[in-house]
Amino acid sequence: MKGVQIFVLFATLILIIFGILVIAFVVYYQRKQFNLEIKQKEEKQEIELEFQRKLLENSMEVQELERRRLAKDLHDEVGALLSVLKMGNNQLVKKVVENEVFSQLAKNNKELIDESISLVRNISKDLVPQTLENFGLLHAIEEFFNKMEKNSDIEFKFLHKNISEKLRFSTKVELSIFRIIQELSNNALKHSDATKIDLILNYEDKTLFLVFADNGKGFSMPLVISNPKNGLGIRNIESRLSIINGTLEVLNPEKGIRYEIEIKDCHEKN
Amino acid sequence: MFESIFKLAFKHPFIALGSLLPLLPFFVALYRRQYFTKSSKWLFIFLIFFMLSDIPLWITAAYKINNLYYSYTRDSSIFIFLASIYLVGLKSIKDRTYLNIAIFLMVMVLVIQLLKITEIGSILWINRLILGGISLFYFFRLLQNPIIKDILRFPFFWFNSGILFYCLSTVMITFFYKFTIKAGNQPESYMFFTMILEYLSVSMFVIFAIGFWNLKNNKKYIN
Repeated sequence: MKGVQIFVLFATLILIIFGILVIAFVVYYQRKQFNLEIKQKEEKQEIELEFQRKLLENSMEVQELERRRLAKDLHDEVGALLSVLKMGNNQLVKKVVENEVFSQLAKNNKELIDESISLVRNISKDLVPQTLENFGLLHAIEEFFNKMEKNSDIEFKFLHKNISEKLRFSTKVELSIFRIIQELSNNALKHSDATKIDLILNYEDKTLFLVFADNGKGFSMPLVISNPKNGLGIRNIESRLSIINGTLEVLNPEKGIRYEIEIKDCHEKN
Repeated sequence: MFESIFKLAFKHPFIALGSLLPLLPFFVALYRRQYFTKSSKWLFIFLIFFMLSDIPLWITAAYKINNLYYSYTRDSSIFIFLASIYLVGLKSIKDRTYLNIAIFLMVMVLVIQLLKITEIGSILWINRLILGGISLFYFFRLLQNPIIKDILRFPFFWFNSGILFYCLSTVMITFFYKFTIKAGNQPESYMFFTMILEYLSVSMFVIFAIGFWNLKNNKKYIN
């Protein structure tokens, strides 16, 4: 009897150890499985994100190509037609010089044609920033700010550090930054009631820092983003930044608004 | 009557502790009652059933009335009750069918005992083995479906662990019933093995208490 009892005790002990081991194994295996699942989910998310990024990039590229085509058509087709029209009108002006009514009409037409030519040229220039392509970001921003300053009551100030005129980045980066600055400036012009805009561009350790600040009435970013009807510009900026590995931070100082943009791995173009 | 019960409790303090310890998960469950799930509610009812069904054992023991028949019937009922709680946790029809078959077998064991077809107490191990198998099956299903972020904060993991631990560790003692807890054995060895069963039962209730304590984290740690 004693022998059986010892055996029972021993077997019970083994079963207790077995029970503990089973429980420990369940904990270990479940954690392992769960971590694996999380890892797989993260990988899937990353692939989806990358796919979305590529899709966005393509859509931006298509948008730029369309802009380019439109600018070319406007310049080459409409511009040429307007030039021919201008020449015809000039001849008409000479011929109807004796008739005061017709002469005045022809002069009016000439003014309208000149305005149209200038408008077509401006639109075409806005669609494809030639200065950006030919002379780089600094010139393009300066030119854009000068134009904005002429057409508004806002004072534009542009400071840059560690960026020379010769320093060029990839077309994608330069175009994105330029479009972002255009978007932010237009937003400030339309909604902020600002009188001053400051832009700082700094390049350090392959990272481009951009600070855009105005002294307007400011806005609440969460409020803007929560309303699907608003914030299209900001969403557009975020989309552009996601393509070039950039981040946007919107800060609310005492007055106005301050956007801080950081674009990492910004390689210089040789 | 109370005097006799107290005397008995002081004579066998560990058995008394085994009867009182379900109060620990009971109070923890009460404290966490706002987080009750369907399964934890049933486990809470089980605790009440366990404690209430324990009272007649003390009374009969105090009056030196043979309560072996009642004790073993209660033992089998406890395992059927615990097995039924898994019906809440296992959702698939296939799993529930297996579980229903297992519960049916356990009920059969109880009926065999009630009708005294076999020697009373000699088939107590079957219900333990079946319930142990159910708890292992539950773990198997849990691992197949990794929906829990942190298993150590998942209450039913603790409930299942407690059940598995108790079933596995007591199966041999009940299987070799004739040499361990059969009435009429040498009092020392009978008390020794009864005490081991009480120790293991205490462990199960402590593990249940951990499970009830983690009820608060139930939703937070499930995907």
